[in-house]
Amino acid sequence: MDRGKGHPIVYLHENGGLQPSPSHELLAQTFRVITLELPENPRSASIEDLARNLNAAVAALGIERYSVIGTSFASTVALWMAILRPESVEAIVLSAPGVPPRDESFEKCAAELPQPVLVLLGTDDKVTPPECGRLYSELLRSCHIVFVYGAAQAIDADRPEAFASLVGDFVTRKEQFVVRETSALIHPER
Amino acid sequence: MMMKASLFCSAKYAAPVPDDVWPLPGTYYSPDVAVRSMQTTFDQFRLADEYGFDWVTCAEHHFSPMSLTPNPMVMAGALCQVVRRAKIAVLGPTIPILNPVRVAEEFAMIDVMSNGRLVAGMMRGTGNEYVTYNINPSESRERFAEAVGLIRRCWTELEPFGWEGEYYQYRTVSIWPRPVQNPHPPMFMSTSSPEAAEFAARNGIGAGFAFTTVPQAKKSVTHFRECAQAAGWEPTPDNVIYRAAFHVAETDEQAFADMATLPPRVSLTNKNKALSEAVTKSGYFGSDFAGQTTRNATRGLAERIELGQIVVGSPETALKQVRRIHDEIGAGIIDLVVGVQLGERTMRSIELFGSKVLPLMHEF
Repeated sequence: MDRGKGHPIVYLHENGGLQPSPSHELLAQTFRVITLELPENPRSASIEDLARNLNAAVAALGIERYSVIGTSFASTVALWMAILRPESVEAIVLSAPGVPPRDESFEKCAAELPQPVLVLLGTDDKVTPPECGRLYSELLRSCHIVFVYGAAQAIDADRPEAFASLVGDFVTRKEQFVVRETSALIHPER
Repeated sequence: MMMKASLFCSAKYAAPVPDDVWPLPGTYYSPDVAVRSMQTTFDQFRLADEYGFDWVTCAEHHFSPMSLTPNPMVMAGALCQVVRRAKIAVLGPTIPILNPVRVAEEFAMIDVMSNGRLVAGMMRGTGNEYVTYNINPSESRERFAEAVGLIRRCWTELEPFGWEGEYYQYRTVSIWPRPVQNPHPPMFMSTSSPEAAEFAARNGIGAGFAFTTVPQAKKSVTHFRECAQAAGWEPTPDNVIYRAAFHVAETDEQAFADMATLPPRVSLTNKNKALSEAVTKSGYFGSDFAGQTTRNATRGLAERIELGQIVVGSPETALKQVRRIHDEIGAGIIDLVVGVQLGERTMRSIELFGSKVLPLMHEF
């Protein structure tokens, strides 16, 4: 899928293949959304090599700057994409990420990432270990954890509107997304 | 396992005012009476603490002389200084109409100020409360479920976090102070309806029965225990609270004579016909509409005693009534409401219960 106009967001799916999600359509109303198909058994390949290939695929689309969403295991791929091309990746979203790899070189590089990272965790997720939020907070320089209420591991499928609105706001405003911008006026038509 | 008692003094406005109106206009209000009412409340809580009551209770109600604690957290904060030994049970804030992060923060403050004596009630409140802060009662259960999850997360999550909910949205939360009790203060909620009992059981929350009857609470507590078992835990009597009005005097005759002035109980929602109809229409009462509305019906004193809604009599009689509540419901805590304020006789009732009933209850 390559749909929409605006700042490019690259979406990396979880294990089990790319599933269409209403959240992609919602994001495509404001952003250019590119979903990339990952190999069926990516764990057998080097994650670093996979990230390098994906960066090349994005570059081949003529995209110089983009944000990336990594879902589940693909969170590590997303972080590697940013490590390998720090000048290209603006913001990183990790949706229900697994435990970060205990790999010295990865940890060293991830700790130096300048990009803001949004970690999304579903409150009904029985798969993602609960300590993940803390582990990413310790690992990364700029990490923001958000719990998505009522979502299990597939957050973008379970709460598509919440996912799209949160990701859109974060990708646009980065760390400043903590400050509310929407109005609370009851009758704004005045 | 000892049975415990809590004193619930609602800080009732201590002067005659119309009892069939909600909301009651401020034209009936006298600040002197309000100040006196608060002092009486503190005197009663202090006395209960001295006489060995295990807990004291306060709760949230709005726009009514029935209770002058629209924010029970403020009362609980004061009780941290007034009550030296008893636990402070806030039963509770009306969760769906409040800011859950604020609730988590205020509860944490009370737990710290009381050095870990907080009992945290999570209530949906009565239908009228939804008018006070302009919240749609049809969304009450969903708001409640989400808010309780968020409050627990505020207490237990050590990293700053955001919350993307259905009714609540926060981008950064990291509360200070945090509760003394680990992982968090004991939680209770009203479990009279089947939906509420199922939610409490799934979430490891204690059961509370208020303004119901012993037969109805017995049915509800059975449902709660079955659901808890299905969820993998076994509630103990310490997980079950039963609330009843009370008055104890030297003799049965005196106690009944004192209670002759007790007005029939009319729920706040039912004091306003349009409100009551709209709340009913909203689906607020859930699937067990008949049970949830009849448990609150207006009844005479004799029937209320028979149904276990009120404990009245000499210490011996009161003990028997409490024993029945313990045995039939398996409640480990009885939350005793001062039904009608009778000055010195109410103080004596607290003394008598504390000195003559409580020590025997503690042996149940």
